[in-house]
Amino acid sequence: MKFEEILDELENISATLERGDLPLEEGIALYNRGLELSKEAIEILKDGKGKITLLSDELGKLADTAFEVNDND
Amino acid sequence: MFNKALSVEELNHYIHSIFDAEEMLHGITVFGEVSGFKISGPHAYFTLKGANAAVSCNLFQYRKTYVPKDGDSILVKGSPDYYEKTGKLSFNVLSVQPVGVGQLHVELEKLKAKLLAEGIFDEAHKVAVPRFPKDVCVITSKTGAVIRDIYRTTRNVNQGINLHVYNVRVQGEGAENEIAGALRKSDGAFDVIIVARGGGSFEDLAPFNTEKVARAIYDCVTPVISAVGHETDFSLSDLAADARAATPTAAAHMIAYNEEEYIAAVFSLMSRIALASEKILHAEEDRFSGVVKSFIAGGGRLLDKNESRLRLSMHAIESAGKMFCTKKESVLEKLLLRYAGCNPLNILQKGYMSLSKDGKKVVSIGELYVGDEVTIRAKDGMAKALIKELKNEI
Repeated sequence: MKFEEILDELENISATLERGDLPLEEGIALYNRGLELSKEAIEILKDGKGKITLLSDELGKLADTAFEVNDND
Repeated sequence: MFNKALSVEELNHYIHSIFDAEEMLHGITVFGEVSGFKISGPHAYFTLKGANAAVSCNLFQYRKTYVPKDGDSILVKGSPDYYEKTGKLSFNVLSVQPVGVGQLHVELEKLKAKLLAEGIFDEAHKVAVPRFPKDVCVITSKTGAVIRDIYRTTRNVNQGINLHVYNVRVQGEGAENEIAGALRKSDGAFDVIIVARGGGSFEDLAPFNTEKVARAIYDCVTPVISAVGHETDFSLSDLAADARAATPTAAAHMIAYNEEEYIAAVFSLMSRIALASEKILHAEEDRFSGVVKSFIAGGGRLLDKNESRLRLSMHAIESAGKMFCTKKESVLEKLLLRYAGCNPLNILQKGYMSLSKDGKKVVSIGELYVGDEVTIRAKDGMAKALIKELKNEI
């Protein structure tokens, strides 16, 4: 899942819960889903720390290779 | 055919008279490229070149018309003239009109009007650039200042965003095909796409003013930021894109977010979710105890009629109600404990305390006996306590 999608879903969950017209079981299920999502959101942030890569087109699929930016001047 | 030998004067005069008499060659327009432009007094001289031909041009009183420079594509109006004295042919220019840049501008305006009418620049078609992108595709030249500027600006605030560089030529013949192809390939694979190049002449920016690139941007499902040239340059790619950045550096500012901002956004949503969940639990409890109470009250009025039976069923309902609420409470407690694990919104901070006996959570009074030693955990520490009295009530 992407950052943006997670935030959107969390936003939906909180809006649904805030309306307060849910059966208890569904409310609890949504709460748990929210908890999982927020964990996931923080996990994503931690992994794959800021790569910079050069895309190359192999067999019609884009592949990443390590890339260095000339940062001298 | 002349039967006698001609003097050079006679020959040149005759050739001159032929050119003079040829109406087709009077007041004609010729296009070509200027070379060797030089001014001498009030007049100017240059060579007008085609791909495989050239003609000398005289521009008398050059100030009266558009003054071209070497390399310009121009249209000249005038007539060829054969100069008898030197036996040379030249073109006497009466007026000069620029093509090339001038013409390109006109064509660009036409293209712009066409795409506008088709809805390629419609605001309604544009999508928002995500606030927290993770994977960003940068379509630009892998060498040069643009990618360096974007990289540096992004890393100044954010270490987590992945930048994927899609190397293309950003100027020259065929560059628009590479850019449009890169847009198609990368669409759907990233959170956001940036098409970028640094400043340059009108001709340098030309690929970003092509129909191909404008359409490729329009067709992208992924949000596209166009960052072409400087502040003052406005290209068709800017108009077709979901967002325009004045410079590549500005584009980097648009995607780079502070990671703490992101974490704060997640936690604020989480706290909304937790609060709303608690409310639902409390509402459910209130509703149920309300039903039980009114049932008991209603039952009281019927006591005389069927006393013993009613008493029994009332007891049954009452204890069922208590069990229900106890169950609810333990669910609430579990939720709150999970919530407490989700820092920094620690539930203990709010003043709740948790109770444990022999290292195990106590969730109901039924688990306790008089004389039990229990541990109370609060936000600022813990306490040991002895159970003095038990009361089985909601």
